[in-house]
Formats: sequence, structure tokens, C-alpha cells
Amino acid sequence: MIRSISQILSKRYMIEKYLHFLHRITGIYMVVFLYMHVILASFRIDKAIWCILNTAFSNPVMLSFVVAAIFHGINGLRLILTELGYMVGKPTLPIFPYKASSIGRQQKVAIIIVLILFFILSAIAFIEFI
Amino acid sequence: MRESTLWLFDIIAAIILVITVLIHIFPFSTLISGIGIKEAVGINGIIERGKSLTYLVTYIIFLAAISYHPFYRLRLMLIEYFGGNSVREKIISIGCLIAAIILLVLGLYATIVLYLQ
Amino acid sequence: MSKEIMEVTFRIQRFDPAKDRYPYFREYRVPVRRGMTVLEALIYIKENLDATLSFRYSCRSAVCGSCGMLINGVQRLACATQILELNTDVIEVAPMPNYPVIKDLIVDLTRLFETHRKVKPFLIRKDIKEQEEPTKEYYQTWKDIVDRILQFTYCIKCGMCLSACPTVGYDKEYLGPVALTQAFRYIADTRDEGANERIKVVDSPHGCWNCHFAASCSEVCPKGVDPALAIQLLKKVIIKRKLGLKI
Repeated sequence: MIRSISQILSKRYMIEKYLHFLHRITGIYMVVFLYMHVILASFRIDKAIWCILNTAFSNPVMLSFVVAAIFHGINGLRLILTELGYMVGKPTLPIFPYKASSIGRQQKVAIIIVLILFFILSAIAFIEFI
Repeated sequence: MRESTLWLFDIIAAIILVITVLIHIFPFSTLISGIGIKEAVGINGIIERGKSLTYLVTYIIFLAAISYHPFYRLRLMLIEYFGGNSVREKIISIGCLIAAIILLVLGLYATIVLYLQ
Repeated sequence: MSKEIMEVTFRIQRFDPAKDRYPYFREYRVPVRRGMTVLEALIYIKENLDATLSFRYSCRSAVCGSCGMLINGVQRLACATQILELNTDVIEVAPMPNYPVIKDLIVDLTRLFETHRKVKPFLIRKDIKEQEEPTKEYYQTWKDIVDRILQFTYCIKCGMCLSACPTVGYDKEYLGPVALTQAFRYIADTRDEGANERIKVVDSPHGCWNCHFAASCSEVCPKGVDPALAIQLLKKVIIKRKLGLKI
């Protein structure tokens, strides 16, 4: 496992490998957080505890949760489309130099859209924070 | 159940999650909903929103999706890292199922108590 | 033979299980001519500098798939990599990751062949009589071949895709890009009738659902086979069959 992680971080591969890694990390982070959030929320019903706890956007920890959720959600939508067979091109006759269509233009455009949406929405989240 | 059926449910849960998470965050953001944070998050705001039927139905769907998707993916990931042995795989599957049920129960408790208040 | 342009240092990972405990790097300086490939440099090292260096090669023209190695951090075929195109003075050569190392740059490709065997990579047909006593060929149009399977038949089983795949690294039972691509190649073949058997192998806990589209397999493939495309199309075929839609 460690060797695969060091291979991923060796900065030589294309962006899809890093997006996969980030997707996984944000996913694990959110599962841990989710449990804490639901446990806290189910105790919030009591008004006395309420005053102590913080809200979504004025708490930096919750902000990191929201940013992770934004990345995971938008990248996840791209992955759903890809795994259902859209945005990957079709089988063609391979002629040198081989251009793999699954990492071709359609996929790169989708990734740029994902990154732009991520930056816009997390900018909105940051503004809420401040 | 075949792996592909579980995966199909997971994709549907993921799409439902995107929509319901946005609905969940919606009242807490000043920019989008225009309500001040203190009013929306204060206990009165939550109780007020919690009483409506649409809130209850939305949150039940939200809870169903959020107790399926993360734990299915967690199970898939743990089987990748620690699987191979069918006993270990069974333990991982059952562990994730129990964690998902606990989350569902806690969430349902919170929502229903809020509805009935 | 063009004249020598420069000298390049090769840092090669060496490991002899009979003598060494851990792998180590050894450096060699090789005179480089224009047009020289990494494989030629390795052969020069073996002939002139260090005869104990071991590596696999055969066709030296990128069709046999024997010389896959990690060159400067990315999997490449040694015979198809020009030294001067790498644009650096130090070239690091190591055996492909995700496989056990037998010696120096030679890896054990058993996993590649075992997983490939599991998906039944041959045509399966139900008409036994025609198979035993053939009367004519199975008719396929050019479109049937090119639009569905041709690209995936070009696989040379070099093993670099399994080496680049992160899931192959974490999951010891994962089928891998070669097996999944060949499963799709046979399922999509219009002559084949064994889709159900292959889908049963592929639609399992360590099958195609563990592919998370890191797409490194397609990136390193030397023949443009694009295994990532085949795997996503395979998922699409399985879902469509499940929902009862036409493939």
C-alpha cells in the first residue's frame, strides 16, 4: 500500500490519478466527520446543549468538511458519468502516436469544469466563513 | 446480491446525496438563502423547519442515501486493502452494515423527535 | 553509426536475491549517440561495464512486451524510449512496481497471466458441431470489428498497465486492466456467446467495480489499447444488461 501511495505522489502521472487519491482521502475524512456530526446533531435537540455548539460556516472544522464535500461531490459526478460510459470516447483504430480517448479531450474538459466549479463553490464557502 | 446491483444502488444514492446535501446546507448560508446565520441555525430556526412534513420526508431520503453510500464505499475500500480472505471480507461487510444501521437510527431519532416537538 | 554526443549516467536498481538483502542503486556512465534507446544503453552496460546486469528484451521494436521498466518514474518500454528525448543527464531505471522482483530488472509476471486466464480469453460458442467440423467463417463486418473490439486486441501483455494501476497495488486479488480489457474484448465480439460466464467472473468483489478511473493504465500503454476505456465500457455493458436495455 505504501508503495502505491509513494508512486501516486511521485508527480509523474496525469491528473486523474491524483484526483482519485484526493477523492478517496476526502471520502474517508467525511465518513469520520459524518459520524461525529450526526451524533452531535442527535444530542442537539436538547436546548441547553445547543448554545455551546457552533454553526456550519463560522467553524473552521465544519468549513473543511464542507470544502471536502464540495470536491468529493463534484468529482463524484464526473466519475459517475465516466463509469457509465459517457465522456470516454469510443474504440477506434489505433494509429501511432496512440491517443487514448478515455484520457482525451472530453475527459480533460470535464476535469477543468470540475476544478472550476470546485474553486467557485469553495470561494463561496470561504466568503460565508468570513 | 450481485456486486453490480449494490453498485447501481450506490450510484443512485450518490446522486440523491448531491441534491439533498445542497438542500441541507441551503438554510445555513447567508449568500444563497438570504436568511441570517444566527436565525437559521438557532434552535428556534431548526425547530421551525423541523415541523414541516416536507422536511421530514426530505431528511428521511437524505438519511437513507447517507447511510448507504459512504458505507458501501468504505466496505469496497476495506475489502481492497484487507480482503482476500473470505472470512475477513464477511467481517468487513457486516461491520459496515452495522455502522450504517447505527447512523440511520441516530439520524432518524433526531429527525422524528424534531418533527414531533 | 552516428558519433557520440554526450555521456549519460544510468542509475539502475540492482537486486540479486542470492546475495543481497535489499535492492540498491548502481551508477554507470554510458556514451550516447543520437537515436539510442534505453535498451541499447542497457545492452552496452551488460557488454562493456557489468555483465551481471539482468533484464528482459526480445524484439527491440515494441511488439513483444518484454522490456517494460520504470524509467525516470514512469513505466515505459526500454526499446521504445529514446535517451535524448528524456532530456536529462541522469536516468533512473528500476523494475516495474506491483510485481515481485526476481532479479535486477526482471519481475514475476505470474499475476498478469493468472488474472488473464480467469476471464476465459477465448471465443466461446454453443454450436459444438460447427466448432468440430467448420463449414464456413463467422461473418463480421469491418464496423463490427473496428467500432467494438479492434483497439483492445492490440494488447502485447507487457504488464505495464498492472504496474501503473493503484488498485492493483492495494488489492492483491484485483483482476487488473489486462483481464478486464480482454473480458470486454470477448464480450463485445459479435462472434462470441459466452458473455454470461465472463460477466460472472468480472462482476465479483474484486472485479471491475474496483476500478476507480485513475486511468494510469491508459497513460502508460505502449500500444494505445486504452484499458480504462474498455473497463468503463464493460461497466456500461453490465449495467445495461441488468436494466434490460440493448447493449
